[in-house]
Amino acid sequence: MTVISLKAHRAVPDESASQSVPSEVQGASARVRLGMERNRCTPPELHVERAVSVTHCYRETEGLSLFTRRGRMLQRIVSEHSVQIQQGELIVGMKTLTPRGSPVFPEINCSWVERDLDRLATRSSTPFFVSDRTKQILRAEVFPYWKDRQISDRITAAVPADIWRADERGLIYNYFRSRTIGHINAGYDKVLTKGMAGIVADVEGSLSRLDKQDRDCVHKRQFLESVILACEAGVSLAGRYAAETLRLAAAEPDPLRQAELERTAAILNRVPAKPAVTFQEALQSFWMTHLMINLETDGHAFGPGRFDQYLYPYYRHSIDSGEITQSHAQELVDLIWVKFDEITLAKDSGEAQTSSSYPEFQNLNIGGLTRAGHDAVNEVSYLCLDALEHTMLPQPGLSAQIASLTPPKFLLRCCEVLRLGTGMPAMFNADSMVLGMVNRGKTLGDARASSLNGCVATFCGGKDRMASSGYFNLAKALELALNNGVDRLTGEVLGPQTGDPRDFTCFEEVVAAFKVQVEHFVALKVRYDNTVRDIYARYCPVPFTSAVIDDCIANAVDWHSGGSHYKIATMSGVAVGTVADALSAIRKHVFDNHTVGMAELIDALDCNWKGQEILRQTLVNKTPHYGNDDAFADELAVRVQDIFCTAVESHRDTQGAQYWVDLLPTTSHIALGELTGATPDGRQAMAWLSEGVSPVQGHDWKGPTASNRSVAKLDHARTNGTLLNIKISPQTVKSDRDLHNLAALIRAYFAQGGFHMQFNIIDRKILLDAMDRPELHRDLLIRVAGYSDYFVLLSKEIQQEILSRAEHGL
Amino acid sequence: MQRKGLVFDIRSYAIHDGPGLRTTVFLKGCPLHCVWCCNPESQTDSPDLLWLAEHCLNCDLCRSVCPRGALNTPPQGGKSVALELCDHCGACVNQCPGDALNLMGRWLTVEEVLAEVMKDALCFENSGGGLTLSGGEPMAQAAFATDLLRSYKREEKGLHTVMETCGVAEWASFQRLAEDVDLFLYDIKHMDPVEHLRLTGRDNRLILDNASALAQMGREIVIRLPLIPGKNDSEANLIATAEFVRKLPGVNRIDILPYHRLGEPKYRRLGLPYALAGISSLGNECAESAQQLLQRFGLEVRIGG
Ligand code: SF4
Ligand code: SF4
Repeated sequence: MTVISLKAHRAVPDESASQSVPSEVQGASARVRLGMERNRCTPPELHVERAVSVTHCYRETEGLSLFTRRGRMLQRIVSEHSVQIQQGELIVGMKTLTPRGSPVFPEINCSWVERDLDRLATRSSTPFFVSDRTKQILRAEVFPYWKDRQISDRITAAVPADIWRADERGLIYNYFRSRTIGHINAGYDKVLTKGMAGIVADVEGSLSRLDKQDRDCVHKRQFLESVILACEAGVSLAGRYAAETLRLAAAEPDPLRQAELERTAAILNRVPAKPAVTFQEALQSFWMTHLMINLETDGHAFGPGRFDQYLYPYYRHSIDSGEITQSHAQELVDLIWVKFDEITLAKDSGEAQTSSSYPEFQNLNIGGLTRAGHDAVNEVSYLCLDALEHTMLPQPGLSAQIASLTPPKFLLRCCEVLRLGTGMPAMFNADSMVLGMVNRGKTLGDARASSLNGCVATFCGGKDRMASSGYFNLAKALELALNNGVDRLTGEVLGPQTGDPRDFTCFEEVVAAFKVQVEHFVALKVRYDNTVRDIYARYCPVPFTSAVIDDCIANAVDWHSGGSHYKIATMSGVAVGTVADALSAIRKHVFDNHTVGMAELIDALDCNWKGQEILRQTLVNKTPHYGNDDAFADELAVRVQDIFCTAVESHRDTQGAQYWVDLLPTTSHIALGELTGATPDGRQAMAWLSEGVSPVQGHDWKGPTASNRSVAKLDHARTNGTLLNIKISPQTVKSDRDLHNLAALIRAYFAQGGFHMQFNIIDRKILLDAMDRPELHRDLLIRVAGYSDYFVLLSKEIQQEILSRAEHGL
Repeated sequence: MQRKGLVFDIRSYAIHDGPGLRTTVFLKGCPLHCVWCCNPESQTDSPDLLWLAEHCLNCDLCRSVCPRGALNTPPQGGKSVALELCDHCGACVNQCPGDALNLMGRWLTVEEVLAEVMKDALCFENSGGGLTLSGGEPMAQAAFATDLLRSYKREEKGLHTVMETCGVAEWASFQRLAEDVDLFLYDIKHMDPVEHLRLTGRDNRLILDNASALAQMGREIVIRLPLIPGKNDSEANLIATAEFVRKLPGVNRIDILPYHRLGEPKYRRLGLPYALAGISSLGNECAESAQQLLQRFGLEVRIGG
């Protein structure tokens, strides 16, 4: 293993400082490049430190209240955290000893670590290096203590068998069965404006208002005191970094670097304890807060949210006072990008497959609306776009909120960055988001101040709890409806007996059976979620997170127990497109045209189309598909969404939060597809399902505008987020004129109510895949010099030629 | 009875057929027969039945449904259509499970075409795009094209219009619709009448006259030059083209369309021979040197258009 030497702390010559070039034309500075290189060269590693601190602390505090223990745990983690300042850094603080490392969260789930420990370094998806010393300490000091104490063991014991079976068979998937709920959009602005000291003052106020008659008074006091412990931990983490920075400064031969280190130390002595004043203070305070959240629990999607909004006042102050230059500000933002890229988390191998990448969904938003409904784009928004351009890092996930009033300049700059090929920024419709948030009970101002979290979930930063509980496989529900409740792959009875489909006499009976299956499993999933959520509420208080989310302090209720101002629960529907196409095939061929018998179709599904290729191809090719602005199929997609939403919206969780739907798959459409038998749209058993709200892969052959019109027919505002992927060939975004066209495509989709779009620039990989698996890429339109055709229709020889052109941007 | 046009494709998100996001309507039929044509299915003025070997499952369903016995399976395999028997009823196409059979060309009314085109009105509005008429040669169905453009412009309050044309039509036909076309993308394939005849089947007199007349009328024109290695890329021809274009009032842009072989598979699908079999696509350097030469005449020259 190569670990970059962290010993040298020389100042990195700053090329930009010596030249008076405007910042737009400069790339990343030398120290930014150094950080990127360091992240790139350091293999992700599993670190034992946090696990040891936590285990020791839990051992030593047995008998105390869990709130106190969690507060003490944070203090212990911080006091034993190995403090590292890396070469050239201006903003400091690391989650683990090496960049891109992962701690272990034994109190939540270490059984998977125990199980996978020897394979973790060699597994195909997101491997983590584990040293022998780490293995030995984990086995000797950590694993034995947590048997039956860790949360995952409690969940395993509490979840009934029928729910586990539905999970294993791919009907539902709960991603906080193996780690915490995550999806934290902290009120970073609160830390910036009040400092930890201000938050502690709030806690003291809340303590003084406690009503002794309240039978929860003791609990509430313990909780509030734990919040104080947590805030103190945050301050002492900064203090430890300050001390180390000063120590290095004293030994630093280079006076330039020495001054930098001294400045950083001074900043760390002020924030996050006190309110930030300068831009660098604000960024450092933000980062310490972000680190504390990352050290407290292991959920994913700890989102920085409306970054450009809460940082702007500090940027303005520092620029106006002449304290920093524009290019210095840019470098600081670039450096924060490098810090985001340091964050990873080792996941259970099962989950590593459903979300198969290192990035931890740190969704950073720019643009959108102010609380008053005006354009929110500011200079920091552009700094963020430049940071992405300079670093091309996969983290943070950059999201641009586009409202109808967003200036064209900003949208065009987003498009320009987009064509670099990182797939970012993802584009979001701020107007649709506001509509949806108001529908879900947010005030208008809060709705406008909302952000995207995770991939596409919407969130009111600093006052929300959105327990996104995982996936619901709509295609599997249809499978059960077409098999009288029996799993086609295993033959087990899973769902209610909705009748032998061979006896269905009209299309509505198919829909009715589907509806029954959906309702049944939605209710089952709600039970699942509640069981899991209650375990977190009971066994995993999060005092630091509670400190930075309103109104946990005012209510004296922990965030995991529902203390936040807003709370909702969501369920992610997967395979709307597959189900719509499947229903369309049944309606058209079985009930409208009577050209295929229901029994014939069911038999073909049973044997996974064996010997039925002609039938299968007929269903694929002669069925109206969702994604082509065809009313016949699109109406069915709308109905599928409605059935799912209606079922989900009829539930509340045990903390009183209303359930809502979102339609995003991460990469679960692959894993859940593997557990789903053949479907009437001609899909083979175990093949991919459709993704997000996107049409079935290769079925939207009428081009992106028609596809977008179809997708926009879904009720996006009724969901907590939808996801649409679009492939574009590099040639379509070459000139400035092309950027205007891309912007127009986005505006048109948003004007129709669409919520989110992300773009994959077609590269070699996609083309190669299209040669291998043409059936998934029938929509791949290739444009070469004024001519266009579907890639998969071209001969191998011509495909090769296009492939070689793809290397030079088509 | 409403006039119908023979349309072989309507393609949305066309971004290379004029400004902005556009929908291009391809009308069938062409008076020229350029040897390099990449849309050979667009040349004839009747629907064509296309068979894609790659998609055929050899189920023979097509033959069993054909009411006129027009489909055959030749001994070497594949499908052949007896053109004199087939009346383009589409029965085989509707049946074909592999989507191996396609009918290129449908008779549509102006209303039917516009219903499809106007679906993208929001995209047009946001991008300054609109309707493009292409072919084949749209002027081969001049009366239909005139009605279509007029309805789009006047009744639908349509936005920008473009016509891609090779310029072969009676001047009177151009005169009738010119006002409703905001931009002509006008092909000039060769300046020498004899060469032109050899490469396309006709001389270029009408083409050059119409170009001059449209320019006189003050219509906006961009000249398109498909550049075919060894056919029309000689220096002499480039110079002659530049000199002609320079004299057209108000016209000063030429788009070079470098030759590529992507149309070749279509010839195979149609069972037609490909005349340029031995010629490879035009390299970037050739296109660029042509660009430089033309620029010397003070013209704006783009590659790819
Ligand atoms: S119906 Fe289609 S797939 Fe079957 S033999 Fe005819 S062309 Fe081939
Ligand atoms: S289009 Fe009609 S007539 Fe022509 S081959 Fe097909 S079925 Fe026969």
